[in-house]
Amino acid sequence: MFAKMKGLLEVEGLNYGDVRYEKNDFVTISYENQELKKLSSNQREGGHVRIYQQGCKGVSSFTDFNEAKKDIIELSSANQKASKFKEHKIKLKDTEVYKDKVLVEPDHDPRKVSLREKKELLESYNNLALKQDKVIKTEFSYQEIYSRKKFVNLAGTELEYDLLGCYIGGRVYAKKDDVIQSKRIAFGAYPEFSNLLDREEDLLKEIEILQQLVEARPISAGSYPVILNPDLSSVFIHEAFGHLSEADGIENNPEFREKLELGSKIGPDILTVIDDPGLKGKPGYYQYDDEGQRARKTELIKDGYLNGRLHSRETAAKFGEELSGNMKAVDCHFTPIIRMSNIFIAPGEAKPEKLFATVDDGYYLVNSRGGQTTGDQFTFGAEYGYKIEKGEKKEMVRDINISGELFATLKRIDLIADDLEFSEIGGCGKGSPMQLNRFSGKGAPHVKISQVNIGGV
Amino acid sequence: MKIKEELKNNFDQAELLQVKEENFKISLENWDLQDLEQNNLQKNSLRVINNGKLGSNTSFGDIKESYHGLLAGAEKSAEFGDEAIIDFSDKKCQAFKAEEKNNYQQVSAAEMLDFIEELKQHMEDIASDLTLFINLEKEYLEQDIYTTSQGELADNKTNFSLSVFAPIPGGGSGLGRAFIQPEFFSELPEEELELFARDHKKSREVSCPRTGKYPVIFTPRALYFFSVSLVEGISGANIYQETSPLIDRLGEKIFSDKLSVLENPLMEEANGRRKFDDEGIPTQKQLIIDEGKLNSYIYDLEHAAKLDKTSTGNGVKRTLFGSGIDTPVRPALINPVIKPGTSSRQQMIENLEEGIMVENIIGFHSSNYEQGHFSVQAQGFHVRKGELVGRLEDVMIAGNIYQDFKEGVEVGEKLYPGYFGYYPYLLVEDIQITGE
Repeated sequence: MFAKMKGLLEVEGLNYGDVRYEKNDFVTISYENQELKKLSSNQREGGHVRIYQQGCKGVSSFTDFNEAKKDIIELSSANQKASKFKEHKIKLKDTEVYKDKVLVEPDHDPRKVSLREKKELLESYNNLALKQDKVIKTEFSYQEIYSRKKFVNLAGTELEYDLLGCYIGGRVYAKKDDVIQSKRIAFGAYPEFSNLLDREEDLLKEIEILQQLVEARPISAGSYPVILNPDLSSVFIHEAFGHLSEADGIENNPEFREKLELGSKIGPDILTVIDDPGLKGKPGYYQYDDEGQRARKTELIKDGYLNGRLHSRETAAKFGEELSGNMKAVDCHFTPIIRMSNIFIAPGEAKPEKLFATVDDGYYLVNSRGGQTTGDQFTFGAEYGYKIEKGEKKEMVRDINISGELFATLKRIDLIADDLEFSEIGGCGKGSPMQLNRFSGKGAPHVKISQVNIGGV
Repeated sequence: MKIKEELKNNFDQAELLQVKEENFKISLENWDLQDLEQNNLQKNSLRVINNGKLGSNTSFGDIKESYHGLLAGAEKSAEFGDEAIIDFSDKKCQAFKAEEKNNYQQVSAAEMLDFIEELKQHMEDIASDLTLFINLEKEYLEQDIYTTSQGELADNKTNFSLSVFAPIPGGGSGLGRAFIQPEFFSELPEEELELFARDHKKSREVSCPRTGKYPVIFTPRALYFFSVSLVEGISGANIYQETSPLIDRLGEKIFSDKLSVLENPLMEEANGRRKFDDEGIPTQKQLIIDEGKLNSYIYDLEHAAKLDKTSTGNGVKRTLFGSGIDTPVRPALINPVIKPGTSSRQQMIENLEEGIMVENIIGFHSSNYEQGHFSVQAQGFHVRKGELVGRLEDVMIAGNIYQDFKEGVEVGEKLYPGYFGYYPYLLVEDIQITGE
């Protein structure tokens, strides 16, 4: 296969080229209420080529080797025509040549569990949820992704590596009078299947919260001090800051490059943020990225100062910074882009109770309901929350969205607890077309922010 | 032919959807050429009914290479599948046109590069201080459906799209415009580009209203949140599951009588135009909201069968978060269109004493949008005394489309392409804003 892949790069005039070929297995089982909506176990394969010539880059995805060579020759011709329009010629950071094969070998391998067992496990959680009071609808799915990748480049790198992960994700809906609310369920296994077993108690705890949520009142709009629980804090740091630490998002935006110069003070002294692909068992664990680079840990913020950035070979050369090994593509037909691996806020020294004691009139916001950012502006939903009065957690509130500007909000972090937790399921959307990366982890402890805008009705 | 024979021999019924996608894109960032990107992909989706049970599977690549795995996976899936309550389509539709493919192939990379150079020169003349991002793309899509119930349908289309975007200095947001059409661009959309440049100049200063209720002008670029929420309301799936807020409300006035919404997959210039849905059911023009009244729900084969209705040709492999060959079919609008009214954008702005104009919303999917609720960050402009006075920062809007769009709505006179569908500018008189 390596020879066949290298054959695609036998095109005149290339300065550099690489080929990634993937065979990916997906298992999907999904229920909506009592109905099995989908059960599929499918394979797909295909490849992606990147060619660099005369300072220009062309990329091409294919599902048919026979058509790929013709497409690459056409792309090379377009690249040559385009080079006269390219003002700043692309350079790549020098790197080592690797020849390696690294494969995952879990103790409880999801690939060895039968489809029937997986279906019955999912069905049991779904049935348990459906039996609970006020529950009107369930959506449960089991997803398993096994991705085998081969990578070659013109410098001689030859790599074979894989990714394996599975999870049970769900949404349970409850209704009281005219109020319908939903709650997310997430059990992850990256890659030990045993993590998905015996989770009935966890499920019932989530549904108990949902049953309280349909009785809760909507939150009131305004600006308040808030405490974010670890899940919501981790989404905040991933979405609002993490994406700006990906160099391809700011490389051509002069204003952000200036704001995000390494060494700038962007947060309080207590804030340290790390991206670490070496955390085994977390969703963003890997050893080589999709550009043939070794994965490495990067301290993005150290004691409040911007300390590092996530790079491709192209952006590392452009910024004059170190390689980080963060180029990832989520499937065979995508070009790699810079992605976080496992990003987290390092634990602080405060006990969580101390954070509550410092809030007179504010909110405790729990679990993410999704988020979105553009530049330094962010908006996140919280699944539910509680009013805090004079340091005490009071009644539950619902329909919560918070928004703000990253740099001002980072400076308003005034306490970080010592209870770091990682999310069980990976998930990050980026790119156009969107690449939804399930091998992306995030973590954080409880964090207090002195003022945040909350949109309520 | 061999695969058709195997499908007939192996299953009670089968439906094979084959999609061929080709595209070529040129992108510029901060005025400089970034990437040339091309894709040439074939994707296949098979649904089967075997021993009365429904199964499905998908594959990538040439069907001749992958069909053994595709069939075996579908057969396995049907072993566990639910009882089938549908019959696959028996419709015929040959909408394949050779000129669509020619149209794609005839526009060369060199021609596209020349157009970009012309656009770049024009933008330098009118707004050289922008940090300008440009995408120019040609896309070709071919869809074939074969069913063992003698359904045979084929369609293809080519689209050309152009988008410009510029971040706002000092702010995290940006402004953009998108243009899309079935023919390659014969000239620059100069008028719209000049308006884009003028709007951008108005965004340099920050200006926000105080917290309260104000009129809001939604630009066509922001209005997808309205149609996504509406789809959840009219979807046969949510009617069946009793989670729609629009159950038993056909004929009822749910919006202002100024508001009419069409489903128009047959709109010739629309990028989303389609002659049949992902289940091989012919699409049709449908009046969904008739002067504020709820006129119809939408169905795919499954939910039509469950509710004793007929499919409306709205079985689509798409969710809010994207579409793909693996996405299960659900009822969805293919090309929603808000019927234009009589007001111009300029009149809407001039008549405002104070309000905002929303260019983009952030965080929509975190709201309880299935119930029509929205609580989102609004990016755009503060409007005072009939003028755009600055960009919004840290401003949120919140409400519910079934309450806030019921009265005091004014509809713009011209349609523009949105995230999906076509929309005019829309003024809503009373929306909760969290501002200063």
